[in-house]
Amino acid sequence: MDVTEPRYQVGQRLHHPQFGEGLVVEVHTDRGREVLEVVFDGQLRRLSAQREWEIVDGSAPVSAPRPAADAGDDEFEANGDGAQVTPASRAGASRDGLRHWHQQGDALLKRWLDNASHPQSHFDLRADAEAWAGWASADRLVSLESLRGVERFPHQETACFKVLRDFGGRGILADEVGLGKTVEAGIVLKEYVLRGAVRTALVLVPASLCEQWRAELWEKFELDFVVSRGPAGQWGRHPFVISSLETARHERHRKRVRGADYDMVVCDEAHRLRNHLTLGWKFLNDLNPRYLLLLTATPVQNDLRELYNLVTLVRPGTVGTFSQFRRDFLSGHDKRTPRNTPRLRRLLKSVMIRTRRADTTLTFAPRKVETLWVPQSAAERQLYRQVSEFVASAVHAEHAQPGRPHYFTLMVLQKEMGSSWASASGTLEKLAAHPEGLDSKRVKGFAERARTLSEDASKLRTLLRCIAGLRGEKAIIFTQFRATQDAIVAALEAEKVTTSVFHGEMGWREKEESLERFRNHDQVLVSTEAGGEGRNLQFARIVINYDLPWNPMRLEQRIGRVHRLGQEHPVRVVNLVSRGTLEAYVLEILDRKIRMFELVVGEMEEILGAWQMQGSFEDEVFRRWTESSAPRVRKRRFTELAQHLVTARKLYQQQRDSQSMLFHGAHEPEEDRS
Amino acid sequence: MTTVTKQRTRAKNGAAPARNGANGKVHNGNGKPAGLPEVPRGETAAESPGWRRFVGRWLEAHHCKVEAAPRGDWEVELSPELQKRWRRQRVRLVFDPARPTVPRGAWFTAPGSAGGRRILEAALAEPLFTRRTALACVPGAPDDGWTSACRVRGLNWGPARLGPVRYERRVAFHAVITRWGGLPWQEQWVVLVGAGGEVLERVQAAQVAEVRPREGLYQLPEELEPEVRERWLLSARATLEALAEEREREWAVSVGRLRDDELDRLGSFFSARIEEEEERMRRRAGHDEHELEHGDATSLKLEWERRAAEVRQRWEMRTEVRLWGIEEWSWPVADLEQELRSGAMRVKVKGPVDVARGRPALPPCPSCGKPAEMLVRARGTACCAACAPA
Repeated sequence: MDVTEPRYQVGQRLHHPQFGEGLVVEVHTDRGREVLEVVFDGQLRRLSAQREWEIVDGSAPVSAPRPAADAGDDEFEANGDGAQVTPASRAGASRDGLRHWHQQGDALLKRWLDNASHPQSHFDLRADAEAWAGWASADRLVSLESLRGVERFPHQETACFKVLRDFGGRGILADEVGLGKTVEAGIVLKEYVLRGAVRTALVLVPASLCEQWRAELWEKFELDFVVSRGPAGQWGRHPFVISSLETARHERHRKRVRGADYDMVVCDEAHRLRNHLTLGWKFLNDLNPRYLLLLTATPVQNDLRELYNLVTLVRPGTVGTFSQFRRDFLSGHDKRTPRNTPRLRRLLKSVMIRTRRADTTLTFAPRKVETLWVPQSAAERQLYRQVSEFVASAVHAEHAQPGRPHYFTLMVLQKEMGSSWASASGTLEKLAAHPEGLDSKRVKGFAERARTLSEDASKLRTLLRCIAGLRGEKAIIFTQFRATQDAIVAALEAEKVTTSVFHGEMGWREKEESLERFRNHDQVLVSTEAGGEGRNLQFARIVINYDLPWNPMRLEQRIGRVHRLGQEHPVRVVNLVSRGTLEAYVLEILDRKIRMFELVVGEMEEILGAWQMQGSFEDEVFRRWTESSAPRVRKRRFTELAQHLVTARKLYQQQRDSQSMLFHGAHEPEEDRS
Repeated sequence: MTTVTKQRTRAKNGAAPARNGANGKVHNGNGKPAGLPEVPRGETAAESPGWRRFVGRWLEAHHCKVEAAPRGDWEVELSPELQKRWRRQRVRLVFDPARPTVPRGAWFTAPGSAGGRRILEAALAEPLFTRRTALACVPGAPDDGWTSACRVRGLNWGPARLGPVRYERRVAFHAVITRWGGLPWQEQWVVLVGAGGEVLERVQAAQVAEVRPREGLYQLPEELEPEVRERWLLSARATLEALAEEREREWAVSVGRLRDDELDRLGSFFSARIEEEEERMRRRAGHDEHELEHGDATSLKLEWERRAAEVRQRWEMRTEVRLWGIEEWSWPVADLEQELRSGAMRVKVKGPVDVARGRPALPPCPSCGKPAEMLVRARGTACCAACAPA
């Protein structure tokens, strides 16, 4: 043994009679004396290395600051990097076990001594109950049996096993869009909850997705989350909390979130944490929960440092310090292209799961999209133009800015005109009754004309012709408005087409019965947006968009009801649109410019995310429509909008290709379909 | 044997073992004694096989009234005991996992769902003790005795003679061992203790396997001396302790490896970062060590400790042993007598047979008395391979 070898080493744990156990973080010489820096319960203290301090068994010293690559070069054993196990660590590990006898044993022994026996049938039932309640081992996901309304796929189960067994509950789920990262995170969370390892959890999502996540975690996983809102929040009051990252990291809440000591944190859209200088990254780094899942389809965008930041957040040291990372994996000034890619890829595999669609056996049925142009009558065309002008002028009047009541009413009115005169007339009548600054006489006139036109709408006639052409095949007609739905149902019933109805005002039983009727008997289901979420209607294959939502995500949700995994037949999407309307412009952008209908589920969201516009897409569309009245100007304004989206789509595709190369090695650029 | 294999496979897959009924009577297709009223079925393909049957049997055993409802649901009128526990009179149970929504107030009932857990919690609340008899197999031992169980060299087995069947008391202790630390892990064990307090079997299962049970103790007095019970108890506890320790040792190695690996990586990372930080500050401070600004390095050191504490906490191993059931068995045993022959040489071998399973234990070596897998001829007698001269 080398006599000059220091007695204490960095990484060891010492026991101090006064301060308890501490971690040696530095050994250095100060004025000729060897000094230890030890952290005791969050306090950094200096101790003399000349004294004998008790070294805690099993606390292995840090061998040497090793480059990141060495750590990850080792092949994985049972779960991790297969590091050398020192005899000391083995001995320590076996000693630190804590055994506890459950009190049920005492009650049992008392019963035995009292001769209070049970019938054997009860005993058998009890044994069965034990078998059902048991988790058995890490080879089985107990949570899978408790999921409701979830389509599970092998790649999801593999990912969950990997997170639970190999990653120790800390990892990045970076599957390509549409492969079910949310379900994977839900399964992992539920598994930990069922096994008693997680009692409290925090889910951080974009503010707009809080409710969606809450509903999904409840409906699919029976995890009762609350959305933390208001100045007080729900931190520490409720075991399962959903919040936006911005709310959680806000100065007002930060301390309480930390105090709640969440066992597990799931962060959706984790690409918002790619920058280590942001408050979000710092907040999560500081929070450091026991289990941490980051969900993102784009872990890198412009700079490999982003990837480093995400990995370090989850598992510090996986790719070394940033200096080591830069030295080992970055090539010169190119921030996007790594070197030593195979080694980097191997390291990333110990912390990140990225499944591509090509890696799975999932296949989607082809999608065929048709646009059915509705020939408007002269009266309809004229009314549409006049009401649109009225809406534009009213919106730009001082009293109808966003945030004022009329702004949204006028926006809805514009949408309703694209849907049916029946629904538009209702809003016009309401506006006429409470004009509040609007020209009530003019509005009244519009309402009367709309009512008259609704009795013989050209769009309904087109729809009936379309339905007749289906020759009895099942179809789902989507509309945004209840009044339109009523008009459609009345027209279909008049033509003796068997029709089921589905909308949000129906009770649970009514909804179930209606869907059952459609499944077994009726040809057509007329549904509002309420039918767009969470329902699987793969037994039909035709979707008719009677009106076109301005939000492409809603359109995707509608189509997603029938065009999902498990659909065996080609899906037919029919869009009913009149020329010259706002919807025609939207359709032009979505269909012709960015070919939205050819995208896979989830890609549209990524494209909209890549654009980073201000406000929602709906607002953008409405703004451009109302700001330009002449058709030529409108066309230019909407062409600009399309250009933004085309650029966003290209950006998204570039990101996807570069990530495919980084994470999988095979450069598989897809044909630019735009 | 086929039934047993199936039971094991199912238990491994997490499904409840499909026992052939508690009392060995003829059963209907539901695995339920033919005399009991029929529980509505309606199992769908997506459900965990056997779960609905288990819930039905459990509800019946707790005197609940079960009626079929549309879409394969059950409408259950709870017994007063369960009404008190769950604070409701009726409950609708939904079993189909493919259903996207459930009626208001209904329970989606699957093994890990909230409704399923409520039922399982109630089912697991009480520890149980029962008395039963293991039915004897006919024949109690193979006709050829030890011929297939014990190989011989230079010898032949003569005809086997099975003695009268007698019943002895055995006690099975059922326990669940749970490990926390990393991914929580659970194992079910049965320890079967013999009449003398010796451990006969230690099986990882929820039930004593390969026996046909019957209610009550046959040919044995029900009462047992307290000191005998005490002795058995100590023996079982010691066995479970040893078992837990053995498992803990195995787990500690795997858990410790993962923990140490993580601590090692963390240590390398933070020590490198601290070094980099100090180097940076040194350069900035013009090589004067005394003017070093320790701010950032200190926070790194504190963060290192915080993270290391979190890792240790995550991998900290705890085990819990939950003894949930005791079975007192009246177990049929008999003695098997068989002759070993070689020319004029005749050696009688006598050993016990587990008549409940129709399986003889290994024969005792005529020389040393230890169970022998093979007997050989040596020095004009028969003995095991260990006793035979080299």
